[in-house]
Amino acid sequence: MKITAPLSRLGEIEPLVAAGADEFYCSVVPTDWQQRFGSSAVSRRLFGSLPNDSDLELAIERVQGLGKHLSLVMNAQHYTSEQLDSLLRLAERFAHRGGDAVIVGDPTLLGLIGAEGFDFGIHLSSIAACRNRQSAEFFRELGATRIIFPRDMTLKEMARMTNALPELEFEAFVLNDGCVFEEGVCHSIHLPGPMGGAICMDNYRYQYLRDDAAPLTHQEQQALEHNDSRYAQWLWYRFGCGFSVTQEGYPYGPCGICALPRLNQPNFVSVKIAGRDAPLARKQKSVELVRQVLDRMDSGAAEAEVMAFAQGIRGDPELCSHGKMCYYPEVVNRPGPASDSKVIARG
Amino acid sequence: MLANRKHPEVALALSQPASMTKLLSLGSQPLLAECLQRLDCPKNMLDLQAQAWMVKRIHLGNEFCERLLPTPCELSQVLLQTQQLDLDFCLVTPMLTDAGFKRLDSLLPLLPEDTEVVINDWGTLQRLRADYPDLVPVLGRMLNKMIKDPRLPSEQWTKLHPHNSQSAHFRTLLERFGIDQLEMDVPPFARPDHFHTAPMALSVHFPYGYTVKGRMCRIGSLGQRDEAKFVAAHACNKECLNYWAKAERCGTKTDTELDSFQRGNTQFYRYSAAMATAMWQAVDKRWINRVIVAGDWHENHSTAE
Repeated sequence: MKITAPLSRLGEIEPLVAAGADEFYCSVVPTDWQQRFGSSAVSRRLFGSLPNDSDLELAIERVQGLGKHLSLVMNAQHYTSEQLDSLLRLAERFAHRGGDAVIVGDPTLLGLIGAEGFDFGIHLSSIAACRNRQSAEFFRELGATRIIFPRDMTLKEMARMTNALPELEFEAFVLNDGCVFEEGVCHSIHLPGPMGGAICMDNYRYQYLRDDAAPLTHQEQQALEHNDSRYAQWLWYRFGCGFSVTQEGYPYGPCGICALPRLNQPNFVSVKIAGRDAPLARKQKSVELVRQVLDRMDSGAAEAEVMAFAQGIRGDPELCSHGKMCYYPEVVNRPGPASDSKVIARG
Repeated sequence: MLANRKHPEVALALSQPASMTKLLSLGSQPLLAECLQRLDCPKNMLDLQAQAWMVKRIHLGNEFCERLLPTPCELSQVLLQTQQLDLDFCLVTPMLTDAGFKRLDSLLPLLPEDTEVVINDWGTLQRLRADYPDLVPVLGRMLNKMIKDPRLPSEQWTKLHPHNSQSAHFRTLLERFGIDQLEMDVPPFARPDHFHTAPMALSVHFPYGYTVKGRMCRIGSLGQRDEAKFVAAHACNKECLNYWAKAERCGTKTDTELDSFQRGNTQFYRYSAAMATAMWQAVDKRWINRVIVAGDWHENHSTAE
C-alpha cells in the first residue's frame, strides 16, 4: 500500500520522499486561467496550487526521478465549457510531459479526458462521492481507473466495493482535514474568516422547533442541548483537535492509521494524506506517521500489534479510545474479545 | 408578483407517503393552495396567482437521506393514490450506499413504464440504464452543481465556480445517457437567464434551495448513545420528521443573507423575493417547464412564529 501525499511546492518533493511518500498530488493554475475566468478555482482548493504552470513539468521530472508518481488535481465539482476546454488542454500537456495520473471530480471532465485515451491513470476524486458499486461502474465507464473514496465511509462499505470491482484501484483518506458535510454535494464557499469561514465552522445558532408547532418539553430541550454539546465536541475532534499537533509535530485527527491493516487488500493501492495548503512540516510529520505504521505492517506484525502501535504513536491513547478523532471509528468502537484488552481497537 | 403568468406544470414534493393521504379528499388534480394548507406549509408561500394552480404530479421521496426511501408497500399505495387523484408520479431518489441500493432495488420494479425517477447519484442512473430502460431518469438538484451559499455578500462570489447547467459539454454528457430534463434550485443572486437550459427541460424547486448535506445527521443522532453519534451509517429514529431548526448566524449577518434552516442532515435557504422574481420571470419566458413545490419538507414558520 502506497502513501499519497499533498504537494504545493517543488522544494517539498525530496523531504516528503525522505519521509516515506510514494505518490504525490498537486494542482496548477494554467497561465491564462486567472485572466480568462477571474479566479484560481481549478481544483476544489483555491490555495495550495504549484505557484507556476512551468513548475508542473519540473515536478514530474523530480518526482519520477525519485521513482515516485505524480497526479494532477482538477477536482472542482463543476466547470463551464470554456473551463473544461482549458483543462483538457492542460491534461494534454500533462500527458505529453509524462505525468502519471489526473484526479477529477466532475463527471463531465472525466468523460472528456476518458475519451482522449491519454496514457495516464484517471483517479476519481472524493469530490465525486462514489459510495456504491453502481456509481463506481458508471465512473469506470467514463474512464476512471482508480476510485478515491469520499470521507465517512465505513470499512465494510469500502470492502464491498473493492471486492466487487477487482479491476479498479481504490484509495482512501488516512489523515487530516475532515469535512462535516458531504464534500461532493457541498455548494458553499470557504469564505474568509471574518466573513464566517467554512459554513461548517461558521457561528450558527440553532433554534429547534417541532414540526407540529407544539412547544418543546423540558425533556426534549435537555436532550437537544446534550446532543448539541456532543456535536460541538465532535466538531473539535473533526477539526484536528483544534488544529493542534503533538509535541513531536504529529497532527491530531481525523486519522485512520490504526485501520490500515483492515485496508490491506490487493486493489486497495493507496492511502491519502489531505492538506495541500498545509506547511511542509505538517506534511512531513503526516507522512512519517503513516509510514511508521505501514513499515510495521510490512515487517509482518500482527494486526493487533499494528493497531496498538498506531494508537500509541501520539503518546495519548485516550484520544483514540472513543473514535471521535477517527476516519474509521468502527475499528475502536466495535466490541472484541477480552484477550485483546491492551488494544483499544478490536478485531 | 407578476401578472398573467404562464402556467408551468406544478409538482408537489412529498417526502412522506403519509402526506399523500392528507390530500385524498381534495379530489382530482387538487389546487396547490389547498394542498399546501393540508400540509401545514408556511402561509403566503406562493403569490395569489400560483395558489390557484392545480397540482399535476407528485414527487415522492427525499433527496437527502436513503433512510427516507418509501417501503415497497408505501410506494404501491401512493401509486394507487396518485391514480385516484389523476396525478402523474415521480420517484425521487437520494445519494445511496450499497445498503441504500438494496432498498431502491425493491422499489424500481414497482414503477410503471415511463415513470420519471429523479436521480441524485450517478449509480442510480447506471442501474436504470442497465435494468430499467423504460423508466425515465431526471437529473436531480444534487447533481446539478452550483454555488448556493446563503451567506454570500455579492454576486461576485458565485463566479468562483460558475454553474454548469448551461455548459454544452455537460449537456452532451447528459444526452449520452438519455437525460433530457434536469432540476435545480434558485441560486443566490439568480438572474432569469440562469434558468435557460434549453434544449434541456428544466424543473425548479420552490421555495427552498439546499446548501450542504451531511452523511452524519445532527438531529438524527439525538436518540443515539454518545459513542454512536455522528458516525458514518449511524442509526436514527427519523427525528427529521419531528424537528427542524432555524439556523441564524451570530454577528456576521449581511444584508444579502438568506434565511436558513436545518432539516435532517441538510441546511436549506428560503428564496429571497428577488430570487423568486427571477424564477417567475424565467417561468414567463417558458424557460422553466415545471415548478416543484416543497410539500411536507419545509420550515413551518407560519405555525412556529
